[in-house]
Amino acid sequence: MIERQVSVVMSIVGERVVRVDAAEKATGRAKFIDDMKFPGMLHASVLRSPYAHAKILSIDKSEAEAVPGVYAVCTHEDVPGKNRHHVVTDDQPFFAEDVARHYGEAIAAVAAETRELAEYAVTKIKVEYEELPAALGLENALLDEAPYVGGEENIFRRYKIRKGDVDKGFDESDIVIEHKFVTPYQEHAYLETNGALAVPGSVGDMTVYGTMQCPFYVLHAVSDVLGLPQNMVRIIQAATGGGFGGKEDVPSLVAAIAAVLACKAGRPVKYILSREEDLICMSKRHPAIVRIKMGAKKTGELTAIEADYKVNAGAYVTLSTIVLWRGTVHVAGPYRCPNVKVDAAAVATNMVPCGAYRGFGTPQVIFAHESMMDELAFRLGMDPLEIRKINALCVGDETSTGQVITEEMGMGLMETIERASEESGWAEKRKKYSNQEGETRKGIGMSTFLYGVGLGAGGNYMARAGAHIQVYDDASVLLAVGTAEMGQGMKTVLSQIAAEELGCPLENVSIIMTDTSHVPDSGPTVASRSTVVSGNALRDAAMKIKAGLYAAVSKKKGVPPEVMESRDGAIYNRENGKMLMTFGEAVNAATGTRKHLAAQGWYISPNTDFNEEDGHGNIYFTYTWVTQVAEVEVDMRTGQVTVEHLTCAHDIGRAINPTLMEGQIQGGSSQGMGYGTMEEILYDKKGRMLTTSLSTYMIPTIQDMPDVTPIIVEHPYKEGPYGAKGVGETPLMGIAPAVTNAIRSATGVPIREIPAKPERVLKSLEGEEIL
Amino acid sequence: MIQAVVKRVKSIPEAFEKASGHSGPLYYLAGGTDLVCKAKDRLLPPALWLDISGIEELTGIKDEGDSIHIGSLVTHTALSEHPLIKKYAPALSDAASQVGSPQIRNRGTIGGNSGNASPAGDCVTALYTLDTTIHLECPAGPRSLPLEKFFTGPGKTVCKEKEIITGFSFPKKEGARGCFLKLGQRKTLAISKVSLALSCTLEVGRLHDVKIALGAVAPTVIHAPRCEEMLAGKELNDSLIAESGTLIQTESCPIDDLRSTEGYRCKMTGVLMERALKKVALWK
Ligand SMILES: Cc1cc2nc3c(=O)[nH]c(=O)nc-3n(C[C@H](O)[C@H](O)[C@H](O)COP(=O)(O)OP(=O)(O)OC[C@H]3O[C@@H](n4cnc5c(N)ncnc54)[C@H](O)[C@@H]3O)c2cc1C
Repeated sequence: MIERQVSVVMSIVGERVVRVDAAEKATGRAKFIDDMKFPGMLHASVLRSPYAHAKILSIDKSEAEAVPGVYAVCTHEDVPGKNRHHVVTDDQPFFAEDVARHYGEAIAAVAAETRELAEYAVTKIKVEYEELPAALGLENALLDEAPYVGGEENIFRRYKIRKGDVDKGFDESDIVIEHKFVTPYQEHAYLETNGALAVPGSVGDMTVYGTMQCPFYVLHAVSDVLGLPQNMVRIIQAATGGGFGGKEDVPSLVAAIAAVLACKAGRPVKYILSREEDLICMSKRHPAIVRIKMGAKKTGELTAIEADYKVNAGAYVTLSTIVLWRGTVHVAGPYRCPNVKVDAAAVATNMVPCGAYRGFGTPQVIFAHESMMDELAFRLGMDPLEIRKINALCVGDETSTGQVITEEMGMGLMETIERASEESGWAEKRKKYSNQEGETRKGIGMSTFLYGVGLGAGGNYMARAGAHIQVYDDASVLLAVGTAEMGQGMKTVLSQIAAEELGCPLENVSIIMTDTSHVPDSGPTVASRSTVVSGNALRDAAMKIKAGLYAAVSKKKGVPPEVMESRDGAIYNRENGKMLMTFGEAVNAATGTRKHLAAQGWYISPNTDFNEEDGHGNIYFTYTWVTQVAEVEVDMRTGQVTVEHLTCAHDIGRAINPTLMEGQIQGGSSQGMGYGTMEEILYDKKGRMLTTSLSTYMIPTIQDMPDVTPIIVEHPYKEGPYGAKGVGETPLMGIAPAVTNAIRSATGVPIREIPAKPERVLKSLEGEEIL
Repeated sequence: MIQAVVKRVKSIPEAFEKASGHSGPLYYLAGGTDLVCKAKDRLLPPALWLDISGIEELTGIKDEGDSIHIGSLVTHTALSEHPLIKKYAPALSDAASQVGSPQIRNRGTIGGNSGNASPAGDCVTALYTLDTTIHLECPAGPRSLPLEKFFTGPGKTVCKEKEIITGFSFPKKEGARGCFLKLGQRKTLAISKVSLALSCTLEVGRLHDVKIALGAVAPTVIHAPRCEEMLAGKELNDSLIAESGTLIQTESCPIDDLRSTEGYRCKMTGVLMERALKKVALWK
């Protein structure tokens, strides 16, 4: 159990220290997999299904195998272990077997001396297909005549919440509104595409380097696909150029293909996806349809929320059930409401399997509930700010799953609402924008939401993490953790936590890339969990090391360890404030007395639970609370929306490094703005993706970025390292509805489908009832 | 992999010499901002690329008395900054300043913008409003033709095999006014969904020499002849502006594609027309 320590004076935690990996990244020294080379290394290329749904009648690889310089051509028949990617279920093959279920599904792969040769050889693999009718799109897949894709009548999974009695709640209300909301795919567009480099060892073992968020998922996948015990597989994370959820489950697919080829060829194999390939077949945010009905009193209090949430899961289950679960438990938002009924379903389609993306099934429902809150405010003639304040959860209130919010969780929702509205000048601007004429009009809108930190009850069994700390005799310190740095700054924040806890200078600390041979399975780097879980695991290890140091100091100085404390690079007598030894001297004393200055730390998150029958439970150990305000200018004649300013207040418990925290807010805001205003994946009638490059899949550029005012709110979480919660995902999540609510404030017209691209906004302005 | 043999040439004769010794596909390489992208997307056959970017005589913007000459290698950055262009072809400098990003503007050339023959080419759209003559040269000799005769469809021109675009010229008009307006999917680094260039002069409140071109609404850049005619000699006022915005919507034949829709594009030609006229009315 971690000792609770929230209100001590800190010297490293809370500082704006420079990222520990800034220099290597800025100078180009950081090693991404494409920078790595091994003797005899081959390059891979993958043959992918040209159909959304097709029977595979035969595969003839002889011509490809005959190409000089080709060392291996693999299909499912060449998989030495299990041809199944285990995520939640085991339905997805690494290589398609008799049926291809989505455009871009892997059928076969080639390893050859050069990438060009591999790409050429792939064209020589002859596959006979029989095209089958395809279920394209969420609503189509649910029609009676839809072809079967998977699950129960094309539903992979359902979840529900039943709280109170919604019929009674609607009866008691003065107003009932109901609307449908539609949200699109979103592509992560990380700078570095997915890829892996598999290196066979001398004793039948396999090492895989890769760009990834979840090294232990990859460990399991490679062990499964090769039929090797886990102690014969080693996964080493390479410098990773962005993830955002897009490197959660799919790196396992990529690594498995590289590993099967490497195994067959007996040589290292590098497989890096082109941008086009990555866009076509790697995971995306789930498109969704959310129908919500809300009842409220004239005074604004919510009486009932009823919602139906459906996501387009794609052809295989992958992470969809947990994405759906997370969305389900967030549908009712950060509001007090006695009667809640939610039904959710993940729908199987012949489309790319969707997965994790910052927010994990929640931005979709936030778009819906926050649009509804504005609709209610509009219909009741209230200020959107007021209606949120009236309904905002407070300490002692229950969420839609019946979880009681406590002070210990860290509860700063109201403060985020107040500070975001004050800082943005909400009241004056609303007044100013209430009566506008002319071709361009300004508007201001907000969104408020909660977000469960960590895996929650959906992933309770994985909610633990390990860490390793080794102190060398020159007092330098090496850290190893099981979660991954993907650009978010985890290495820096964890180095700060370890240095703070050890009481050593930050310069003494370095942290290695995540390596599954150094640390036990620590679960995935997702769900905004790394700071909390790896931070606590490091503190656990650091305390063990401190015990050794204190014992050595005690022996020399005759002061009992109980009165010692570590800070500012030294050990002090807490009672008289006197310095006993510097960290370096203490290390010297400890190594001189043969103390063990290496330790494993382990942290188990508090238990969470969820009742499948009624959706009740204490589902997350803490929540991040957020309010985002957007200011826009709308061109009334072209429908173009310019997002001019975003004010984003996040209660993250404790900012270990405020600069990195602000960086998260800025970057996430940009992705949120893209989601709300421009990003769109288009398919043709046969389910083939059309937007296969970053010149057709639009993401915001720096010129589109508004000014962002980040506001850090700190209501510490008692179990968090120094009170910290998580911030990895929330910056993106409420921007879309804040922007569409601002469009409504400018124009009077609600936008119920995103992205709010000019064509769509203009149609709404012209009075076309779109949804 | 890009399958190309790239050879650098220093003069037009040298280019023709290298070209004539070669059979099979040949491309001239200027800034490469279209060519390299197409090759990477495997839209081009393996070919010989003659890098013409070092040919001195294809560079520069010159005042030739009655007209302005622009070498085909002039970059978008140069076009957007050059005083002669700003003065005699404000629509062109406006268009060049809105191409892609700073990097693309530093590399991309006006010759390449024409050679690429996209109906969404921003500089081409502006050139349409300037009575532009395009100058070409092939081993058999040079020729010149009105720019409008050069383009025949998306990516298609009358350029003969081995023919080089050497430059463009347009007559100087004192008191030239003009602008270029485009709508893209984002603020920068965006191909036009629809664009409009306007060049004209204004004498005692009346419009003269009105030339209007529309981009991305037809297989090539097109003129808006009905609007041009309707506006000629008229007094520039609000009702005229509104009328032109309606009329121009009958002058294009856009399509639905990944970037936008037919209906939206058509409507936007009207909005851009009105805004362009308002801009020239407020000329400083
Ligand atoms: C990211 C990006 C953004 C872009 N944004 C825009 C934009 O906003 N607006 C826009 O209009 N364009 C845009 N483009 C397209 C491109 O930059 C322009 O068309 C540019 O002007 C092309 O010039 P270049 O010199 O690079 O042409 P190149 O790529 O060198 O050549 C293009 C074509 O013209 C031929 N060619 C070039 N010069 C000659 C010559 N002298 N004689 C005969 N043939 C020749 C080549 O063989 C080739 O077929 C963009 C491109 C990119 C990559």
